Amino acid sequence: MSAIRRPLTVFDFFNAAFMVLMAIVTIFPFYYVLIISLSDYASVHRQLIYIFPTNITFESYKVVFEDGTITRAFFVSVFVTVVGTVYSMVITALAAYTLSKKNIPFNKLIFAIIIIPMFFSGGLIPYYLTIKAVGLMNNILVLIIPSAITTFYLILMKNSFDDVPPSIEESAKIDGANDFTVFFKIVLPTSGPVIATIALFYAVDKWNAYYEAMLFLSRNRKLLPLQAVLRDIVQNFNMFIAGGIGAAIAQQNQVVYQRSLQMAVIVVATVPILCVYPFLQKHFTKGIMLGAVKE
Amino acid sequence: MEPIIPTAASTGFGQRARLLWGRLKYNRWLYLFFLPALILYIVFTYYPMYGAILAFKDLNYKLGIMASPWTTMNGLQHFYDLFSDSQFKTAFVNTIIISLGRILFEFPLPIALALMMNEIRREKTKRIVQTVFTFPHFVSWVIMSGIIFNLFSDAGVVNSIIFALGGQKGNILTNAGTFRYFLFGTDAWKEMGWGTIIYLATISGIDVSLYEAAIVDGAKRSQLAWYITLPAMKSVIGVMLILNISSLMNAGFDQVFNLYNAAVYSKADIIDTLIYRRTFVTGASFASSTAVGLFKSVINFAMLIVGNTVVKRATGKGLY
Repeated sequence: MSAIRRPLTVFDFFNAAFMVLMAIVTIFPFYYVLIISLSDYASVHRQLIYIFPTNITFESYKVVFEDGTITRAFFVSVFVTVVGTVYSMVITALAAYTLSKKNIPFNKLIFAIIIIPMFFSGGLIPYYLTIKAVGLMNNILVLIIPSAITTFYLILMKNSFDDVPPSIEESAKIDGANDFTVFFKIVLPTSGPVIATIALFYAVDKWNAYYEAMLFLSRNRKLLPLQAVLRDIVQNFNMFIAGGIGAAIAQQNQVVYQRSLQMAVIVVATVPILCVYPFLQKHFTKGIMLGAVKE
Repeated sequence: MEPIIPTAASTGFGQRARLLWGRLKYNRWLYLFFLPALILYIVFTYYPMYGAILAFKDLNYKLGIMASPWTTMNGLQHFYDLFSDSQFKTAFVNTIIISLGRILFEFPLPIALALMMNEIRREKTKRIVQTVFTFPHFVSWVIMSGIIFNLFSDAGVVNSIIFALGGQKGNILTNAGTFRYFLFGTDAWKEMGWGTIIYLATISGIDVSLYEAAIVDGAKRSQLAWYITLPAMKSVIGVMLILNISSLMNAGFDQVFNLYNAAVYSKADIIDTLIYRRTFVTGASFASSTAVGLFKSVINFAMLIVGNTVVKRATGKGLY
């Protein structure tokens, strides 16, 4: 489309204005979180509408980082994200390669095995009982092992592997390579975009996981990842403040602005995503295009 | 590449078995590659499906699921109980209304936005805009709930703007009457940009010569969008619609769970949040919660079939 030259019209003007407005609406809530996290009670309430920060203070961040609960939760999340993503990627990539081979016996059966759970599930309680039965209750691995495969990502990857020209694989096999060598030496190195994309998706999902932690790690609160702790902070601030962090604040005789503290934790939980996202974004547009359009 | 072997089925059983064995052996690496995934699927998705049989039983912890006795009414007791349960009925109705509301209000937005983004002339601008719009998708509903509470609380910026304009401060978060629209609005805000990706990908696959020919014939831009771009998106829109319809009983657990509160249960409590509260907060029986889960799954599956049939008839292409 862009190859065709055409004059600017009124529509272009409105479209541009709309896009700018949408971008502001998208960014503003994040900006607002940031400025509140950097403010104290007095400066927020002095103004009618607090949009431009008047007094920047890092007091909330000091409290957040001095508090053991949040720092520990942060590292639990980092562990789960890093280990979980690697584990998920290995299993997903291998399975996706098998799925991309249409002429092997039982191919249809294998495909059915992965598709059925997309549309039918046993439900929460049988899943809960299964986790209990396999002994993953109150074990940090519960955030890594059971949720290792997201079927949608598996299919995106399979679709991308479908596009590897068969002639390359065939000639490698004539030279005596087996599927193992072909996969690791030929298919993987040529699948950069889709691997970056799916790794990003998995990493974000692991980073954002809170529900499984709530269900399965409730007995051992030291294992809770950052999102689960954050949920406590957002939903039950008073209960949370009565615990460890409250004692720490009381000890230092500080008066901390509650909202500012909440927002500081939100910033800490969002920044890691913000750091990876822009670098991978260009890949994932490409990766998802390769994978999804063929549906 | 396959080994060169006869594939004709005229050979005897022994021979066929040997051929199959040969092909299995030849592809042994591929089966081995799938093995870890297979184990995960069996343990964590198929075994729980089998465990759903609990829905028809009275759970006795000592006996375990399999040896527990069947419920009365031919094992359907838990299902009968559901329909005399007013809390469940509320949640069931809310789930359907919220899901349909999402299809009505949220589903068309990414399509419209994709068409508008497609009209941006500079590729670089388009990419920047897309980067910005997609970002909220990657932020969890836990974080979003904190951000949203911050914006909409009494002291939040939304209320201070309303107040500054001479309006009355109100708590949107506990207003049951408007809460569903609040759900639609915040979800649209978060997911709209992400939703455009698949449509923009489809648009980028349209043959440019179609546009060129139409321009030569004097077509306007609006006509290009209406007669070329939109029809080319038809089947993808259909597939996305099927996926939406087949999650009728889900209604977006993560969002509701993190945003709702007791003041809006009457309008926003959905089946999934009810199961959670009953089982893990108030301690209802696992068996009856399993029945609710199974009920949900069965309806979703039925909706998949209905949705696929309807969409296939309308657009000529379905999910299967």
